[in-house]
Amino acid sequence: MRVIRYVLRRTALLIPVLLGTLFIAFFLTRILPGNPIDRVAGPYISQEKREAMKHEARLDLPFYQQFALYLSDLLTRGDMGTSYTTAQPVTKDLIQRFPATFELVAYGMGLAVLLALPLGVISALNKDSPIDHAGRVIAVVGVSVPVFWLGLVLLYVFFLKLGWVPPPIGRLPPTMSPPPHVTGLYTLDALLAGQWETFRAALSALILPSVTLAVTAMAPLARMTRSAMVEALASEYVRAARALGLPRRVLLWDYAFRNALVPILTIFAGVFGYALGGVVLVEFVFSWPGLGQYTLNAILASDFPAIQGAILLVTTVYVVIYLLLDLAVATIDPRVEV
Amino acid sequence: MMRRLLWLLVLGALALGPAAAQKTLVVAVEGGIDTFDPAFSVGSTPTQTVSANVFETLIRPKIVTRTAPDGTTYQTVDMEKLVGQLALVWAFDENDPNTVIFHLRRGVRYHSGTPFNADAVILGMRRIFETKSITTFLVGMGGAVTSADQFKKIDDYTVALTMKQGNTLTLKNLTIYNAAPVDPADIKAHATEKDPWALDWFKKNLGSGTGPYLLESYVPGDRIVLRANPDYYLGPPKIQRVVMKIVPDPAQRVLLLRTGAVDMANQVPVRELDGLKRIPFLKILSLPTTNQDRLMMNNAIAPFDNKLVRKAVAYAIPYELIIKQVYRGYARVPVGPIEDGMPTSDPSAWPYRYDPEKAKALLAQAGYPGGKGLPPIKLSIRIGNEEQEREAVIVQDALSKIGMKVAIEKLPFATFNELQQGGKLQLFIDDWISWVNDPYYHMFWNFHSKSPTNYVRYKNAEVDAIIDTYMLSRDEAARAEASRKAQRIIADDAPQVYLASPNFNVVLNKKVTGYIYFNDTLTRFFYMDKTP
Repeated sequence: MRVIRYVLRRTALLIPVLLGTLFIAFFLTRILPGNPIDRVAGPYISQEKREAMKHEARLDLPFYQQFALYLSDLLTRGDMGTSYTTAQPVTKDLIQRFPATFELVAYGMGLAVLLALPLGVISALNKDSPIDHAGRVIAVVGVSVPVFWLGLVLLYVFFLKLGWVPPPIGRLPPTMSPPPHVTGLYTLDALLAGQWETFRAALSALILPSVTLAVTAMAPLARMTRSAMVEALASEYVRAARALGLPRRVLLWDYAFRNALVPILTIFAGVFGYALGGVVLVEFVFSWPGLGQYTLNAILASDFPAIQGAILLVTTVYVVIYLLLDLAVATIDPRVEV
Repeated sequence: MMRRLLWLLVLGALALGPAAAQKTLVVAVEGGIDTFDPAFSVGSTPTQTVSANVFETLIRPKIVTRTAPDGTTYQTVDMEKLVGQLALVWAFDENDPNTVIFHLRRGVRYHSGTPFNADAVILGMRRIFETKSITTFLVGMGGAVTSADQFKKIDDYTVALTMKQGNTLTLKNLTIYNAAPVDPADIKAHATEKDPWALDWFKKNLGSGTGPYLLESYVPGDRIVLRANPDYYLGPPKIQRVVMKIVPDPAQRVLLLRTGAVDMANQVPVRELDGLKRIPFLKILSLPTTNQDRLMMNNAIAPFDNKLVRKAVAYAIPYELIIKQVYRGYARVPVGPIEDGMPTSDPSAWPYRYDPEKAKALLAQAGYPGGKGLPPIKLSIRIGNEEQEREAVIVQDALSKIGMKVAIEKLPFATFNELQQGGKLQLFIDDWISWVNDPYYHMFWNFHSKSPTNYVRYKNAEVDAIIDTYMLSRDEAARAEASRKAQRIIADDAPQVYLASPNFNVVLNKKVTGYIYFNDTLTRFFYMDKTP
């Protein structure tokens, strides 16, 4: 009961957050020079026709009126407008693009966790040993290598030279049709439809982009795991537990790791949210039709409705991730009350 | 809706059936579709390519064979010779020199099954004019055609067009795909009270056309798939499916070409071409065009409101260096305001060669000896155009050698477009290719003081008068003579400087044949084939 009330309260808090970000997005897109009409209209069209097109798109109205009209469309009809770069309703675009990004980020982050947690724990257990130093080097390389460069190098080696992975041509080979839409995550949809061929293709297309993402995402996770574990292992409750003669496994996982998990989860949520907004370079290199590329194109083209829609979506996801984080922390740590 | 479902079922059956025998062409393209309405499609190349393969105009330029400077022969079109497309034949009326008669092809149907006839043409033209779409401004040049009423149905398969003055420029303008009459059934089905021409529907959905291809599917950001029209009146296309795969990163387009994952790509960075040449299964068509990269000096903003400063700039640019360093030879040194390859082009009219001493002298004569007293100058370019970014650096360096300090400013294209349109950029680099290969078309849009695309705000009453007088003239000799005169006047004013005339480079798998270069640079898949 308490949890439900908490979730409701947090959800209610979403409203001012979204309003605020939307307002900032609206303001920033409109004070900069550049409008979506010039591109759509093309060079030959007369000034009058251009003005008429602006009027139709309500771009001739004062900024606060545009904002009010956008909000009323959004709340009454769920209408986020039509994108100027894809000619499709923004809602439809987002429904199509978000799963592509989410699937990539989910696999990338899953991989990052699988690599980072053991690396962090081993480093902490062997503090200041060569293993620890090696772990540190791996982490430093992970944060400092530019992600697009890493993507290109991986492509060069594993696609061009070795031919182990498919070409960087998006989520599926050009001749293969997507599986029937259920979640929009191709690997999951293909499994649900029992299309093994499609599942294999979708999964192999995911390998390189998710590895690229994982390498950059795992660095902060591994560092945080290491330092949280080091701190937990040196704490008095672990020393007391050790004095009581508890087995090493219990000591490590039930005492140290569980306590270390709270800061690790916090970092994980941050990295996850960051990755959702920051996969644009990975998407660019791998021709991944995701949200990052969509937003980048929208920004370059001053495609106002698309920019606003993407910002709304990413903000919502961010807030939801942090809500889930808080609930997870409350489950792990009985001292935290929701 | 039922019909569409049925189609899908049939398609599904086809896809499962003789899939092996299908010829599929995979093309790497740089972006998606920003509108499906052929009347308004101007944005991205893929948008235009879809329009040009699905919709058709009454007439088109004739296909001819030419020889490139490197000796290879290639196919292109000649705008001076217009032949029938949806109209089987066309001719000026014997009794009225201002009227053209189009005799329409019989038995043509839109993809939906709607018969194509004079009523469809008239309705299509009304849609074009009443929505003030792009064609309106093209055929409106010189006031030749200002209303759809100038198109008249004579019988079911004959349409007459009466122009203010009989001329060929208007007809050339009618070959641009924006002038294609759309399916009357689509207009009828999707028109609303507020939107009688179904603009909203046509923007979001591809209507049915008469052309060799129709849309199979479009996954935004991912792919555009075209399927052959089996009932095409010139016979079914040899390539049954065209998958336009969206690959935004030029480096990846190159990679995909090298590995054979795609059959064709354009917009390949020139620095990659030499490397691609060495791949045995690829061929590169590097075709001369009338395209120009231009250094645009705003004639209304200081110091470029001074003709002498503009001339100084024209002498300061190392043209050969740009061809060599930026384009690695895949471009030509431009010949002047009307590029070589466009009728009446006169290279002798343009005196500017690389001559820094002369440039310095002219700058001093303009009142800025050694660049002293010059206001701050900003050179604006679009983000993401690799070649123009390099040109900007060379221009910056060359101008600093005559004492002109220039700061480079990179702008996102929407910002650049707005400032350019508004005449607010002082010095900038852009590029232009005239889709209609006609000197008066080119001069009107670039040098007429009333043109919305006269981005440098050039104003010369004499040039305006020549354009106005001869634009619609059918006296070819006088028209050519006047064009040469205008080129000399423009050269003396030097409102813009031409940096390079880049080739159009297409990289194809050797299995692919039948590529034809159209002036609009858009690929027509109908003429192409692919050997197994």
